[in-house]
Amino acid sequence: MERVPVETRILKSNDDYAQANRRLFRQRGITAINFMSAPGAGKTSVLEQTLRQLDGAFHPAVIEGDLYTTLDADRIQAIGVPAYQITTGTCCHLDARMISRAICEFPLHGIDTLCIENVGNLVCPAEFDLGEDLRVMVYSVVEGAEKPRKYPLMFHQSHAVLLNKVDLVPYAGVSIQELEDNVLAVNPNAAIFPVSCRTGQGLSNWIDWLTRSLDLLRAPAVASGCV
Amino acid sequence: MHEAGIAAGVLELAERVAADRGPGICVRTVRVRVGEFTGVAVEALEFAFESLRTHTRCEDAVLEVERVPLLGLCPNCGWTGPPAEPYCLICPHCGQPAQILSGRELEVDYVDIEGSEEHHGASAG
Repeated sequence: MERVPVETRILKSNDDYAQANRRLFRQRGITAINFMSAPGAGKTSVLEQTLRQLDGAFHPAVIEGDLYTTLDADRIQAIGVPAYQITTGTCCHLDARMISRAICEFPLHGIDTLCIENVGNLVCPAEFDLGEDLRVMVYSVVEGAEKPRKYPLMFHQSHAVLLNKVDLVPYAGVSIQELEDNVLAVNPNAAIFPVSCRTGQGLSNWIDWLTRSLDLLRAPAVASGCV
Repeated sequence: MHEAGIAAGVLELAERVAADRGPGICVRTVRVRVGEFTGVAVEALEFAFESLRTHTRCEDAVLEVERVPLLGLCPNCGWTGPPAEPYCLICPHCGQPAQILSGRELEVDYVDIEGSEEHHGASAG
């Protein structure tokens, strides 16, 4: 019997695809954002609102991940934004190879902001790097204040956490303060935005943050493009 | 459950080690390190590994899982240790954001291999 050291990340294959995606995005001056949430938290609604309100200086496109349907891609295309649907079948998350295949078929010419809507799932997507620059989590307040403690990884991995459906707080009996405290406990650096896609509450703060972040992330690509 | 994908990754790495050593080499043990702060359920990983190893060089391999505890480090005051509350990454001493020292590991540490003409290579002759 011989012991052979391996000392290699189990998801190395995914990480290699993610790095290749990242290099491609960088070369083309594209900023990629991975939107994650449980099913029904409102990712597509957030995307619709965000794409409508983003400054005209941005040229976005969307990759949608869904188990079976093209419903979400149809909604995005309906507001005039190019969208490509990945149907994962039974797979509960997107991985970097799926994104790699998608961008071979999905023309990204003229695109500078690629939004990737992950499969609705509060656990699995958090472990898979897609090559994105930003991770954004959409959390519905009706899911309760304690979930960041019970499902900490996705909250921890996200740069921004949107607390969606705040218009339902009076009916859900959830404490936004307790929810925010729980998010900050597992991710002290998270940018938190209470929003309602239905009423528009809080969306301007989120859009301002996103615009600033995209501008900051865009700068290095522009600089390297000039060299 | 993404543990099936994780188990496939484990098998891929272990298979490659055995394949690099030539025909007739099979894997007896796969030692993995799984951090406390990963989205991996160890029982589901073990089940997936056992389901997927059939007809591979890992068919008779034992999966050993080392759990790595979540430990924090405070860049502000130098505190290191386990979180005061589960997964809480706020320094219990000074209240500043802590960094993760360990607990995000998801890796194959080593494999034990040995020759076995019975399983591989012999069929060609």
